[in-house]
Amino acid sequence: MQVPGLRRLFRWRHLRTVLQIPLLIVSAAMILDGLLGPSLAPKNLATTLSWVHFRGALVLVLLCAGNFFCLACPFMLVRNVARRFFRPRLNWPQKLRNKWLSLGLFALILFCYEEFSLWSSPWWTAWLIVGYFLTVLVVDGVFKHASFCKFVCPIGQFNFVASTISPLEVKVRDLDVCELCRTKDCIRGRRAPGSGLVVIQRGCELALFQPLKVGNMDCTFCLDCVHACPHDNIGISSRMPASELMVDPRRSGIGRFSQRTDVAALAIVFSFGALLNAFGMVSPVYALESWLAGMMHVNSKAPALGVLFALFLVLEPAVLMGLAARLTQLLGGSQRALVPLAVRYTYGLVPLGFGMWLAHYSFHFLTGLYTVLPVTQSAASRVGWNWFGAPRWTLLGIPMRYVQPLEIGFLVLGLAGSLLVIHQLAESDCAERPLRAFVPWAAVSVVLWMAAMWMMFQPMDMRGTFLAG
Amino acid sequence: MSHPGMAPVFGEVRQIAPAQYQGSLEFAMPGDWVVLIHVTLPDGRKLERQVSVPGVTAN
Repeated sequence: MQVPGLRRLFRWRHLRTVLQIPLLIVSAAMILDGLLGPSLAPKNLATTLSWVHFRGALVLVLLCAGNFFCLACPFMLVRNVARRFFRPRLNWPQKLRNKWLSLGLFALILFCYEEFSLWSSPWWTAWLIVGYFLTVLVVDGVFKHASFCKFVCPIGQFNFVASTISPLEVKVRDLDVCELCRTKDCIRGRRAPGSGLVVIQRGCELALFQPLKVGNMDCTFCLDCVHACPHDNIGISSRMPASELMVDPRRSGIGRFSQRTDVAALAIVFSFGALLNAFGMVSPVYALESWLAGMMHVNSKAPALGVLFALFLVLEPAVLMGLAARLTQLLGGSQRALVPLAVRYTYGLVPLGFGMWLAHYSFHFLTGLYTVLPVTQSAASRVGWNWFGAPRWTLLGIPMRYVQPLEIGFLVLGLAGSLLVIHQLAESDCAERPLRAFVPWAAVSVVLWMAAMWMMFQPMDMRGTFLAG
Repeated sequence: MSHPGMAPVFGEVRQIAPAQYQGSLEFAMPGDWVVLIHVTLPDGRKLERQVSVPGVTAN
């Protein structure tokens, strides 16, 4: 970071802890209010902060800066304190060193959100947060390094994929300095002088070796590498958003994107899940769910929802990506096999998916921006702190007429980003006929974008009881 | 609305008979609504009641 003041701030060893402590306090307040406070979601801190403010602030910070929410993650603060008392002994199992488990959990959270109408349940939301803390403690209590962040955390995976669009990344300033470096503290950790064993500053726990690190995938912005580097050669730098999706070098800790089917599957769940999650809040979804339930002769929500998830997260991507990959082979003359070809171009859909998450979450965030005030006032008064005054429940946020153009702008920006990434991939893949490789994937992007635009203009409908009528 | 952050709608009721009050609310969107009734009794005491109105659909 070259900005005066910020460089010093990001090099400050206690920055992360200082950012984590407020979020830990807020998390504790959310858990208590969720379990003991009002059952009505709009009056409860757990639901209001989780589903309106946290999600909205998260995507906007990812868009404007980078993965700073992982930097301030309160779960890691608890884990770090716990690790002062017990040391994990095991390495994360070899067979699970991929994204399959975390992307399954990511899809499961999306499913539970709809199935249990989490947005309307402070109690379930509070238990979700408690479950998160417990899982972190168990996983990172048993397994070494940042196993939870890299292989388990669904929010982290969301942040990793979304931060490929971010304008900031943690990177080496001068590679020549790294070539002369003997200690490689950025990955091994800095040792105490005179002792080869005692680590006084840990290196990257996510196995990202800075000189070979490319982009933001798997980077939690924890800044351990910044503090460990003895040459002050690592910092936060600006870059062109999504540029890391346009290239396919071997990445430290990850390998080549084109050879990681699991990372591509994560990108699919991220991109198509964005549409599915937004589809869950408009009227037509209930008609579809009711129809599916009728077809299956069931009265509960879960089977119909399961079919919907299978359609949107498995069948639809398989058909669209399969068709586009086959057309790329036929038209563009690509020599790659069908699956590797689909894997390679999948990353082109990430900007569009991120545009959809942005449009959806920023809508709730901006239109409900000020609701945090009466909800906090109300929560404070329940514990006897009345100095905030009586809650004004009429406080809302920015009017929808201003927010809707912004949503459309995010979607247009997402489509433009996807087309740009796909074009770059097509150019490096089929140098002689790039347009022919570009067109099938551009068509997929446009189809998804049109679906997203259609959803934006559907009447909103927040129901947990679709079978009731 | 059961979703936090969504716009609430407000309405007042008027007495039409002893112990009977009438008013109207226009739900701004389909979905699960919760009607909160705030009552101030003649002696100044306040009551709050909550009535769920699930599955509101568009006309």
